[in-house]
Amino acid sequence: MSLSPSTSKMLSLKSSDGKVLEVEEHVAVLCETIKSLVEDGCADSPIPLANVDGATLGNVMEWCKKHADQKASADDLEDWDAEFVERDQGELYHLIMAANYLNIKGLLDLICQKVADMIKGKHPEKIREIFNIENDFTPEQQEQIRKDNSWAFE
Amino acid sequence: MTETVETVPRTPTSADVIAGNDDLLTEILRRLPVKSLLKFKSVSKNWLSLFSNPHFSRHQNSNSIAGLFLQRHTLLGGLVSPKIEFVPLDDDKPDITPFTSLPFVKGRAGFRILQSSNGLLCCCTCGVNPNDCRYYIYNPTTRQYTRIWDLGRANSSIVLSVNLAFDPSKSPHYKVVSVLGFDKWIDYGMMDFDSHIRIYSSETRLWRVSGSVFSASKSIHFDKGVFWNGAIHWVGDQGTSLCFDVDQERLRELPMPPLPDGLFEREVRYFGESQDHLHLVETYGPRTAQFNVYEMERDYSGWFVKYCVDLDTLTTAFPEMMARNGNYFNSPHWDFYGFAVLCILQGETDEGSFLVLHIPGKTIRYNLKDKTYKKLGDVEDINNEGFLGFRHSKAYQYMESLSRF
Repeated sequence: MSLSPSTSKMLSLKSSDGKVLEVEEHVAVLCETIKSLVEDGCADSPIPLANVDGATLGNVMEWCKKHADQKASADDLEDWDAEFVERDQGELYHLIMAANYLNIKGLLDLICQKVADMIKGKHPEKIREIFNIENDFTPEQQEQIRKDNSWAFE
Repeated sequence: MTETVETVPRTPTSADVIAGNDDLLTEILRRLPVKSLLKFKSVSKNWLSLFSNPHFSRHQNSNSIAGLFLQRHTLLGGLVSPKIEFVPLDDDKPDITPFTSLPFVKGRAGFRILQSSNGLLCCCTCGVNPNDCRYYIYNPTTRQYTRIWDLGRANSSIVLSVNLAFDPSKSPHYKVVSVLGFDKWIDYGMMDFDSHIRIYSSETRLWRVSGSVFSASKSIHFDKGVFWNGAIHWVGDQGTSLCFDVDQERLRELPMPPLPDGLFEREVRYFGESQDHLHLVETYGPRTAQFNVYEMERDYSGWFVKYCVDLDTLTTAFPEMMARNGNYFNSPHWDFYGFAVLCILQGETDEGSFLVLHIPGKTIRYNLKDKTYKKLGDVEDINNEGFLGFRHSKAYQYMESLSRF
C-alpha cells in the first residue's frame, strides 16, 4: 500500500488481530514508539503492533486524536479524560499495557491513576481477586504484617 | 511480515498480565495513599517485596508536604507546650492522622522535634535532668522508630546539634550528624569554642568522628540545621555560617547575604528547605511586612532574591496582625506586624509556591505569585510573653514516606 500524497500524512497501523487503522501522522506520533520509527525512517506500512489488539488500538488513537488537537483547552481535556476512563477494568488494563508498549506517558499516567483510585481503600482479599493473585503467606506471616501495620487496618 | 508469538490475552486475564509485570504494578501502586500501601503489603510476597524495594519509595508519588508539625518555643528556647499541633496543608486529604502520642515519650519529661528530612523526623525526649536526652528517628507514616544510642556526653563534650541527613532519591539509608562542643570552653562563656563532628550511619549503625577539631562561634544556631543538597547548613547571627557536606565530610563557610549598613546581627525569620530549594528570610526594622525570600544557588555562588513579599494586603483581611496597645514596641526586636514564617513551600512551578504564616490565632497559606491567601486552621494564642509567643513557632514538614530503617 502506498501513502496518498495529502497535506496531512497518514500512517497505517496493524493490530495484533490483523486490523488496520489509518491514522494521521501527527496523531500517531504521540506514541513515542511510533515517533521513533517515523524519525528513523523505519515506519513500514502498515506498522505492525503485535502487542495491541484492534479494539484497544482504536481507543488509544481516539485519546491521541483528542490530545493532538491544538484547540483543546486544558479544562476541556480534563473533562474529556474523565469521561474517557469510565470503562470496565479489562479495558483499562489493556489500555495500560498498550500505553506502556507504545510509550504514551500521558495516557499511562491517566489510566494508572484511574486504577489506583479504583483499588485504594479495598481489602487485600479483594485486591487478590481483582488481580488473580494467590495468597502465598502463612497465616502467621499474614498476622505479623497486620500487626506491624496495624494503624493502616484501623 | 513475521507474526510475533507474544499476544495479549483478552479480559479477564489482562489483570494477570498487569499483576505479573512489576513495572506496571509499580506505576499503579505508587499513586496509592500510604495507608492503602501498608494494607496491601499482605496481598502477596511479591507485593511485600515490591513495597520494600528502595526503588519503590523513590518513585512513590506522595512526595508532597501534607502538613506541618508545629512546636512553639518560649523566648528562652523552652517549649511552650509538649503538645504537637498539626497544620494540614491539603484540603483534599482530610483523613491524614499524624501522631498524637508517641510510644517512646511515655514517662519522659519532655519531647521535641529537632528536624524533619524527607518524611523522617529526628526527635528527642528529655528526662527530669535536662542532660538526660534520648534521640530517635521516627517515621510518622509507618510509625516506625529507632533510638540513636551512644550520642550523649562522650569525652566530656556537650551535644550542640543532632541533624538528620536523609535523601531517599540517593540512598535508603540515613545519616545523623552531631556537632559536639568541648565543655570547658562553652562554660567559660567564650564566643568561640572547640568542637567536632560525629557521623552515624543507619547502614553501619556506628558512630565515628569526622575530620578534626574546629573552632565554632557561639552565635551559630547549631540547633536549627537544615539539610539540603547533601549537606547540613547552620546559620550564625554574627560572623560565620557553616555547611557540612555529609558524603564528602567537608566543612566550609556558607556565604550569606550582606547585612544592612550599621548592623552586626542577623534577624533570620526563616531558614529552610523545600523541594530541593534552600530558602532564607531576614527582616530588619519595624516595617517587617516587606521582605525578600532568598534562594541559594546550587553551586553556593550566592543567594538571589526569589520572591519579593509584601504582606500589607493581608493586614486588611487580618487586622489582628497589626500592633495593638503598643504591645510590639516593648523591644526594638519585636514586630510592628505580628506574623511568623512557618514554612516556604516551593511548588513544581513558581505559581504553586506559597508561604505558610502563623498570625494571631490562625495559620494561613499565602501564594507567592498571585498573592491570594487562605486560612488553614485555628491556633491557640499563647500569652505568656505578651502577644508574640508565636514568633518562636517552628514548623516541621510532614510528608508520607514508606522508608524503613
